[in-house]
Amino acid sequence: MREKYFFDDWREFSLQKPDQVLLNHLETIKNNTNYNESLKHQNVKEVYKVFALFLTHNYSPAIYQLCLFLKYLIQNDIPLYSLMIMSGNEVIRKVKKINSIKRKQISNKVTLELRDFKFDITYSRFSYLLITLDFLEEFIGLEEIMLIEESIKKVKSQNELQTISNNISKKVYSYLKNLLPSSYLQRYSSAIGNFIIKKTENENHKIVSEDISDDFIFDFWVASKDFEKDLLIKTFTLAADLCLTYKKSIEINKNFIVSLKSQNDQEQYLNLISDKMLDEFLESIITYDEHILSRSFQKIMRMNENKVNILKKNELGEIEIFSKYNDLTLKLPLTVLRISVFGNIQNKIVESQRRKNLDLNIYYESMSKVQKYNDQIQILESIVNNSTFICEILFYKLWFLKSPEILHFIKDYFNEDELILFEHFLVEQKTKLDCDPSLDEINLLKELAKENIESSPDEYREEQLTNLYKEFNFFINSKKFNSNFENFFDFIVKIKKQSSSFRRSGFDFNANNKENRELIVEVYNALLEIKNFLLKFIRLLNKDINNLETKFKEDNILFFQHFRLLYEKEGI
Amino acid sequence: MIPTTIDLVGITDIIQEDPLVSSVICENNTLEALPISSQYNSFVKSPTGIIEKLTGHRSYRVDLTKPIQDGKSWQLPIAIAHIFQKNNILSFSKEKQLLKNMSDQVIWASGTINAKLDIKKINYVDQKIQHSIEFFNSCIKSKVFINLVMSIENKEDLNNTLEKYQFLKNAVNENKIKVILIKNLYDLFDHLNLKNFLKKNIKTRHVLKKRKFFLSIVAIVFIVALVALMISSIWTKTSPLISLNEKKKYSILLTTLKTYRYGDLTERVVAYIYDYIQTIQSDEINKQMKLNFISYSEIELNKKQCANNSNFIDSVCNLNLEIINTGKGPVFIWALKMSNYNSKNNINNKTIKKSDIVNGMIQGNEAFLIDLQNSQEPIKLFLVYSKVFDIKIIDWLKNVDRENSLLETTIKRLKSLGYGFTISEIKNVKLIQELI
Amino acid sequence: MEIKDSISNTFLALNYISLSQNYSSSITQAKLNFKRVWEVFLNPIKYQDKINEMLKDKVFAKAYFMILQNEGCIYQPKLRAASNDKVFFRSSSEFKIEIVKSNKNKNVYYIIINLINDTKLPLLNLYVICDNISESKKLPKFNNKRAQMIIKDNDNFFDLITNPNTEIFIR
Repeated sequence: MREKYFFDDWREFSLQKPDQVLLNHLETIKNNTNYNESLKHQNVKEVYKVFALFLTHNYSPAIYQLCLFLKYLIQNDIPLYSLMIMSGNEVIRKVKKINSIKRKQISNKVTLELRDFKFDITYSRFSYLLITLDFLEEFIGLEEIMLIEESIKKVKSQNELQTISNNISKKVYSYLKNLLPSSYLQRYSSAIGNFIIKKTENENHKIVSEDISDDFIFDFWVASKDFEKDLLIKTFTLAADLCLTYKKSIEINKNFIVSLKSQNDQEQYLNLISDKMLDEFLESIITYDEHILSRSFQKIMRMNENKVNILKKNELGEIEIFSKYNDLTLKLPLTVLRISVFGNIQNKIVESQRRKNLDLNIYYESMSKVQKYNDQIQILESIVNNSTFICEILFYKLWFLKSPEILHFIKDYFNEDELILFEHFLVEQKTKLDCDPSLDEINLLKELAKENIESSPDEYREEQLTNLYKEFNFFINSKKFNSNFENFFDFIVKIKKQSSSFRRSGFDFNANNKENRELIVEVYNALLEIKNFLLKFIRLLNKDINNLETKFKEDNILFFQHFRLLYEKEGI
Repeated sequence: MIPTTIDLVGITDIIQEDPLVSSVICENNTLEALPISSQYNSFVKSPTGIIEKLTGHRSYRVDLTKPIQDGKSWQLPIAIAHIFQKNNILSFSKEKQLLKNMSDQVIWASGTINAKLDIKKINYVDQKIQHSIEFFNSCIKSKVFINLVMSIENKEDLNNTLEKYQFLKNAVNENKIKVILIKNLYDLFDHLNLKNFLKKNIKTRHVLKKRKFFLSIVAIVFIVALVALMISSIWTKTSPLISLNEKKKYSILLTTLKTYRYGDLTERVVAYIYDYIQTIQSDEINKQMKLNFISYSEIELNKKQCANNSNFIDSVCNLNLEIINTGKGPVFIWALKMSNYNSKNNINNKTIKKSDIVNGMIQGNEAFLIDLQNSQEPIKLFLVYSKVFDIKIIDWLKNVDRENSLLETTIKRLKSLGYGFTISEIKNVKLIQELI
Repeated sequence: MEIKDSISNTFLALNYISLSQNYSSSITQAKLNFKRVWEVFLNPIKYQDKINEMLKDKVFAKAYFMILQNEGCIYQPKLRAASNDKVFFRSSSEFKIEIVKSNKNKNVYYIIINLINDTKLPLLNLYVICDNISESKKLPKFNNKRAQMIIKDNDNFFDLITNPNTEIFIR
């Protein structure tokens, strides 16, 4: 599944040489093969992490560890040139073999021993260090690497290694320092930073996430015409995207404070930053798109690609932006709205311009007559309704297939009284249980062992769910006669009717097997996530903006003002 | 000229290289050896190759006008070239000009050669001739005589080809081309009236070969003669000994043996062999005869004691000597009980004592019993065995009995004559035993 | 590092990582790295024609010979020669090289290589390196542990192989 990125549509964003160089480095290392022509670094995430490590200038500890690692390997007759075509696992195997011959104890780490100095390196760290070595080779070149190996061979003390590591760091620093400033992205980042400072009119202002607001983004976009010529940002979408990413960067850095002034202050640096902190920081950079909303969205997208249309394609298109920015969209709902509406308009304008039949006035007039923001909200609301409806259908399928998983969702379909009865039922049932299935894995395992129950936690939960479902069936059918769940059963009848007339290609799920049921549960959950998120968004938007109609009219004027500047004046 | 399946190749140079270098064939002074170089090297170097044997040198560099990639049919023309070059009658081609201006004859050859210098057939005769037509034409025009040399095994192929090209056939008839089909390299040089070329070198080898044969014959004859001489001389020395032995002229025999032992090589050899034979004989008899000392007592009380047959016998027992002939044929024995060997006593005592000698014959697988009387003095028994009866033995024993110093001489004599003998001693000793 | 710089770097990182997921690198002139050197080492026949060109790059040559020496080759170190004259005979425990002048042409020499021990390694090239200048020549097939090449004295290779300070590799 290919995530659609705005960059693809950025006709005006082209990669310049320094960006290309860096991306080439990254690409080379991602595609690096060992001597078997299979991928050297199996874990792409780790490659990204190390890359982020270099870009955020936190590489010094890693380089130091790498020097220690190389020294250890040289002591064990594994030369550097052979490392360059071995994967992490292969190096681990080789080292383990050497250690077993030396009759060292089996452990999860190796120890470098120099005069009065010992250092442990765990096996799990090997692949990380190899990636670091690869990046070093890319940045400072083959000749330097060979010289480094020669100098490490002669090293006898920890101080010497420290010196070598410092020198390498300096070389990397100067390479990146020479390369980055002229990169396009770097210049944009500086532009945003500077604009923030300018706006706050305070030279010493410390940038915070709130600095990037809806207004800021709009102003930034407009002000970009006054930046250097090639930094002009025509499309609002691009400007918004850059700012949103910047905002994300601010938030990631909030949790990770680097208070050093100089890059060369190694010792202080090492003392302040622990490996764990650094790792968390890097994780947050590479995994920001693993938010649950993104995952849910991707799941639905995948099903669409497999010709099972849960949500329609255009519906997915409307909510794609949420998948990209997740929580940020909740902080800047107006910008999101603007991107959806005015970004769209702008695309049409650009297209018209290409066809040389642009008439901005027509567009302006047409926009003035409608209430696009409201329309957009309605679109989102209809998606919410649609999702709800599909959830009901799915619920019915589960009910029909008599699957115990229904118990996960049934609360949504009870009214107040029914809910109370159900809760009572659950409490009652819980007392009959030996162990509480809602415990986490380890604790549940302990409990099961105590009670001499042989099943695994998962099996136990499943078993309990099935039993619960049986009990529930008795319960609800017995209550039926008392008309206690009337509301619910009415609902079931209603939805049965609707589901029989519900037609969606690929939408079947009639087979009564475990896989099918699991799939239904997955889809249900995904839809639920999306629906809830959208509801949250709409709520926040309504809270932020008092009157959508007025806001739209204002924005319309503002935007078209700038469009005229961009598209009607010559030379832009 | 060396014909190939693609074109005609000439030789531009043949140079003797340092013997350390493997022979190479190159194209026109280039630095790359042609693929056939290793085959050429084997063709030159002894023992696989013939060129070294023909010319005396083991490393060459040959340059050709065009490359030859494969095959072996270059062997014949290259061999001819080497021989000609050694005799300074070879003129080389030039890179672009196969035929030098001053040439009046040219040899066009194709064939393989084996170690015996036999020329073997080659393939693609038709193609090779075809690619040489132009050259033949220019030769005929320039009045250069063409010698076409091939193996006689290719006769049919060549004839078929000549039928195809009428002008070639005419040229042959008009004596402008001479077709030489040969079985062996020698034949070629005969044909060309250049017999000396090959023979000069081959001759020496031949002569040496013949001589070798002659020498070996001579050597064999010499060795045979020497052996015969040795045998006859040994025989001359041995035959008197044999006759003396037969005639039982022992003293002369023994004297002669003694002189032989200190004589020349032949005599010593003879003596050694004679002694050796006699020793074998003596040992054989000794092995055959077994001695068994049996103790017994007539007194009832001592019977049990004396029934033990060991080397320790109680003094109250009597002793019998059983002599067993384990062989098939009869053996004569003489047994002397040497009374006392105190020669001093003998000198004082002038009485001639009678020797206690027992003489008899034991048939095969039979035994002879001698009663040994008890005596306080130790008893020494001298037993002699022989397959033939010799009267002299009794006299020798008597002499020994009388004069103990003759024992050694007698023993030597007995040995030399191939008789067996043993000497046993029976002593009285006191035995101390702890009973409790 | 100021916060602003750190944010900026994070911004770059985020962008590059998301860009790289759909990026295919343009084939710019590939920078020399160990992988490339290994590729040449493991595929000598494929790179036969280009190897001399590549050896002109000193960095490549240094890396290449490092791998060659450690990964198994037949090697002769530089000689302890008394003078600086050319050497025409070198021997070591692994092989002998004799350089013999041709009787045909004074400028042409034969290089005769005799291996002493049997070897399982594939032997394709003769490498000579002296003071960071290196060259290689393709070896002919070994016949009974013996191979012979013809070379001119104006060839750079000749100067290198007769120099006592030259190290020789066969692989």
